[in-house]
Amino acid sequence: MTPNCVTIITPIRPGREAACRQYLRDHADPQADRGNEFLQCRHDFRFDRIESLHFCSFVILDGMGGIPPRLVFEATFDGSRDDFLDRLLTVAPDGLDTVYRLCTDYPGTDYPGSGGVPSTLFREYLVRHDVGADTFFRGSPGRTVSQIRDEGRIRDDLVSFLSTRCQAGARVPGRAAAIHDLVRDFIRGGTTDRWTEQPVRGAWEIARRRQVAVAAAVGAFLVACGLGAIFYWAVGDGPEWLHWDAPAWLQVAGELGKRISQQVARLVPLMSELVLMISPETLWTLVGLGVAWLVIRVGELVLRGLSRDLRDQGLLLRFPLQIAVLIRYALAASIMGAVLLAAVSGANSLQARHPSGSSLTWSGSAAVVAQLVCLGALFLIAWHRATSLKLKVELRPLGEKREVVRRMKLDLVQFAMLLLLGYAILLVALLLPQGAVAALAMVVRPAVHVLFRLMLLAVTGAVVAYAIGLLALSVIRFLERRDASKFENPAGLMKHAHANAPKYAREESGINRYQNHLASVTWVKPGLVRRWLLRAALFAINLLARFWFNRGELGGIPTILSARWVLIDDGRRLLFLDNYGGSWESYLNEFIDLAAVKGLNAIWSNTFVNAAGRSYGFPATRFLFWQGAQDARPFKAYVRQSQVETIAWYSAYPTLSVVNINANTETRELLFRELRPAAVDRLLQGL
Amino acid sequence: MEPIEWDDVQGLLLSGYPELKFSAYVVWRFRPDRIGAACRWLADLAGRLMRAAPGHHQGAHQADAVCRNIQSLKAVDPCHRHAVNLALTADGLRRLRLDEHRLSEFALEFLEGMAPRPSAAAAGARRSNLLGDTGDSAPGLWDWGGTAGVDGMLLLYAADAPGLQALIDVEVDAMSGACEVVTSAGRDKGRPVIIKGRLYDDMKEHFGFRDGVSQPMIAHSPKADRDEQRFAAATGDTAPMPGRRDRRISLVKTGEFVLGYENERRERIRSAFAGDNPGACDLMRNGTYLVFRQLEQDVAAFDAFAALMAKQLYGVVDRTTTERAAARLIGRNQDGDPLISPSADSPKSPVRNDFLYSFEDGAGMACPIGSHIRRANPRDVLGPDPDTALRLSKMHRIIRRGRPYGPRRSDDGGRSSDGSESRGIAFIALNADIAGQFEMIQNSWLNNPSFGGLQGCTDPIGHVAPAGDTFVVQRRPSNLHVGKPRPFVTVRGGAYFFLPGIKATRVIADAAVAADPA
Repeated sequence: MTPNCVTIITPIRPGREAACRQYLRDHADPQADRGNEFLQCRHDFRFDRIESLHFCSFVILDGMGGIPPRLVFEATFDGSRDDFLDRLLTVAPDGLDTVYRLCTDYPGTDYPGSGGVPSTLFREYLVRHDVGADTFFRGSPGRTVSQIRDEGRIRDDLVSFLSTRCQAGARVPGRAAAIHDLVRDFIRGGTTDRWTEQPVRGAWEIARRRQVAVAAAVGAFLVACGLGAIFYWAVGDGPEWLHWDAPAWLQVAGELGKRISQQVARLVPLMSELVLMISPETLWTLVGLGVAWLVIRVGELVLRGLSRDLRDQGLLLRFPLQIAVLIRYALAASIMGAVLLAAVSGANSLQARHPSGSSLTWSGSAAVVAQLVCLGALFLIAWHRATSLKLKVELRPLGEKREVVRRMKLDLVQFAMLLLLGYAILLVALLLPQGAVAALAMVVRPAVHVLFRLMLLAVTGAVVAYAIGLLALSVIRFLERRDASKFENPAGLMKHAHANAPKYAREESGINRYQNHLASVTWVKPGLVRRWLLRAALFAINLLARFWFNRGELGGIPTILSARWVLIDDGRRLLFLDNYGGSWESYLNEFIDLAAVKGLNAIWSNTFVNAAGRSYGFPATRFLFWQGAQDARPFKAYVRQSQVETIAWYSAYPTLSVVNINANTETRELLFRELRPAAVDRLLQGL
Repeated sequence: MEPIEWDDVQGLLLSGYPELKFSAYVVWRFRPDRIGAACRWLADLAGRLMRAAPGHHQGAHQADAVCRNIQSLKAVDPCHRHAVNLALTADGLRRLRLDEHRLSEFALEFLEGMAPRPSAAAAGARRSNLLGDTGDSAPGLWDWGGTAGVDGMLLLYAADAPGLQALIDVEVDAMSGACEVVTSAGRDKGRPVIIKGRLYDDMKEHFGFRDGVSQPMIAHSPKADRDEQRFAAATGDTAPMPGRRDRRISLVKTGEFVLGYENERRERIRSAFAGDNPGACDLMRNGTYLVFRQLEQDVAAFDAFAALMAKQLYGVVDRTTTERAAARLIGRNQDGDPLISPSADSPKSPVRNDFLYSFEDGAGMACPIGSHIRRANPRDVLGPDPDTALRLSKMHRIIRRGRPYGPRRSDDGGRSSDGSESRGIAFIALNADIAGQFEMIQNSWLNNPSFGGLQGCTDPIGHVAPAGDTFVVQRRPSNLHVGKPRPFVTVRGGAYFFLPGIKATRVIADAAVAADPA
């Protein structure tokens, strides 16, 4: 899935932008037919004859700040760029010639008269001015125009078939599988729809989404380890205790556990019985680690409880919380590691009492097995408890306090399950012959030690990363505070609302009834940090868009058909071109209210707009990601101010929404797959 | 938490005046060059407006008996009960010489109006397309509000028909020096536009359904506060409390309906001008926007469609099946009960409103995905996470105060099925942000053919029907698609109004006098 898009930006000759705008309006912009259901391309620009074209648009950026006016042609298509441009030049040679004659350094000016410029030269000109996209997103990636249209047709065919077949009183097979067959036979029976049987050949990024995510997580872990290693290297000659057989922190935990255990043993006699079963060192380590785990978990819940809503949490709460979660997971892994070490240590007290041989006495074995059975039962009970606790809030959320209690209970149960598992491992080790234990130890001991070390490195690395992040965010916070005095408050833009209205008169009208186009240009704030921040944000979002948000939604927004961000004019301006479904208002609300607001802030908080001789900043963000666009009204005024009129716009399927397109693909995919009855039900109800 | 100044808010916001069953909506415009008279009338009217709560700080110039509020309404002898509320359009504010700077702080959609003149380039005005006011519902065909200017509306309520007529006479007479009643530009050209709303005992509108069942509960309204105290007294975080769930679903922040207070996004809509100039009155404070639409209903066509659906759904057409089919279109049955089956701890209230969709009926098997109530208030069903969806949907709620107008079909024996007398609903929505609430609901939910993953289906009782519009009933084994040939509802008129606070009304009147000393 290479991003198949062009963004061709050419300077317009001085004084010709009005002519260019008028020509495009009259000759390039497709018109709506009477019912507003289809768009009719103009004679000079038959975009509909380009089979691979999804969307395209013409936008003119006015000259400002010493930058000449520019013509922007944007297209999203299938296949290679050269094929698309060739096709474009075949379909609209005269129209394009007329348009680009108004632009500077167009080779066509050397070829006056009929025939015009050779298409290779023209193409080369367009390619030269193509800036591509820094960040590119598609709502239904990997799908060709014909596929989208055909899958829509399949869906319509299915609907009309089922409507006639399942009328009231008609005999319809009762079993889901039978209906599934019925539908399949209908598709197979037709002459035109048989291609549906072939599996969908999607982009590999979509098929391998999970693997990519796992790889990214492993990568992040390794990076954290690297950071940790660098930290220890920088601190001194490396932590000696990293090289010990049993890491020092395990011993510390053991010491702690010993004290606690002794206290507990005084109160509960059973404790000493336990100590007889497994070695005291192991027990103490486990107790120590367990207590540490609990303390951290309680601290976490307290931190969480400090703010009424998770959304309100400031950075100072978030960071400790996230570090606590990391450490908690590391502790849980340590417990398992310690258990494994103890299990293969051969120092279990039962074995110690039977030094003569590998085999336990029968009665001993029986006792262990009995314990194992008990453990299994306890484990099942805990499992049941955990599941019911999880299900408890599925239907109806609890009040705040009860929710905290529930979460605490769930944690305790899960922790108990972990301990039970550990204990079970120890018991199983008792049953194994000593030779086998020794053999296992050869493998397990180094593995656990490597694990311990990596974990220590990773946790250290993560803490270091957080520290670096905090530092970076502090720098950003400083910039944000400075910007507040450098730029006007965007709330002042609200009074320009009326003046901006003509820019978007076409929205939600005519051919834009179901899909709209948004073109926006903003200035990048001066300064190296801002520039690099913006580049980093665009890079990160591009990666996310390609590898994670490739199922039709970008950070929760399910309406974007095709969007791109391009830095133009040597990074001085940011151009945003966007094809989206529905109305502007609801689209912007999605931007503000869903997770996407973080990315939105990270990008646009580095920009500003000019209006009536003044510079207005993006609504103030806090630590780059927070607030910002959530000041809904100033933000919307800011977007309107940055908006540029879309002069011509074409869509290959102007009435479909992203959800429709992706649902149609899914329907087609499921048709010829083996499905359970419930899935057949869902398939048919989705039609 | 600052207290809400309910005594400065017009009564309509908190009450639909259920005890005042007869109402009239008088659409008027200022007479040219009578600004002085207009201001005197406005200042006088301000004292008579129905308030949402008794005032504590009335000026000396205000006789105690004149201060009207919802509570005092009950104390009055039933036949003397009446209520007056006032709403102004942007044109009206302009005519009152409100200066451009202060005017520009009002929302753009309010300033443009419901039916702005189309620009040269576009086929229709953007707003008309957004609202779906095209074809038969195009503003050019409206009786009022389309082409001719409207400056304001008087909302008059009385307990009986003679009382209402007397009230209309008094109020029209009072304003006659300053304003004239707008006359119809469409059918019955020249007839004064006084729309008479009527609340029936069964609360049903012309299609036969109980209306106004689901209203948002306004945070810090007297009712919400009472409820809260009741919960606190009953205690127990643990005791299952009927109504708690209802509250979770319906409680919406005050700022969504009254300007100047915190809304669901934790913003406040208020005047920057008043903020910068101490002493200046914030004209928006305690006001709200009022959307008025006169929607004509074609009851015969609706019934015919319900019968067609009944035939296809159940194979039999009789009264029961037709009503059941019609209930599928709305999402509630005729008495207002939702199609979602009740949960164990539902309150025993007359009409249930404490249901959610996501877990109860995610696939739409009980209440079709495209049904009217599921579109107009999707509750927790839009998007992958129900909690988030519920939170977000609260940003798009409206208070509805509409009433049916025209004779009921059963009352006149079906005589007027030829259209000689029109009937419909005088739709009134109150919200703090027209673009984010009313328009968003109309455009992105009701008129949206892709709503909830559907394809090519709009609101079954909406006023739009693009080519190939269908209604889908989710069922087993496969869904029923019924083609909807044309809409059953037509827009006959409408405008965006501002429902000012009492104090703001006085200030507007005073400012206009100051601007025009003559």
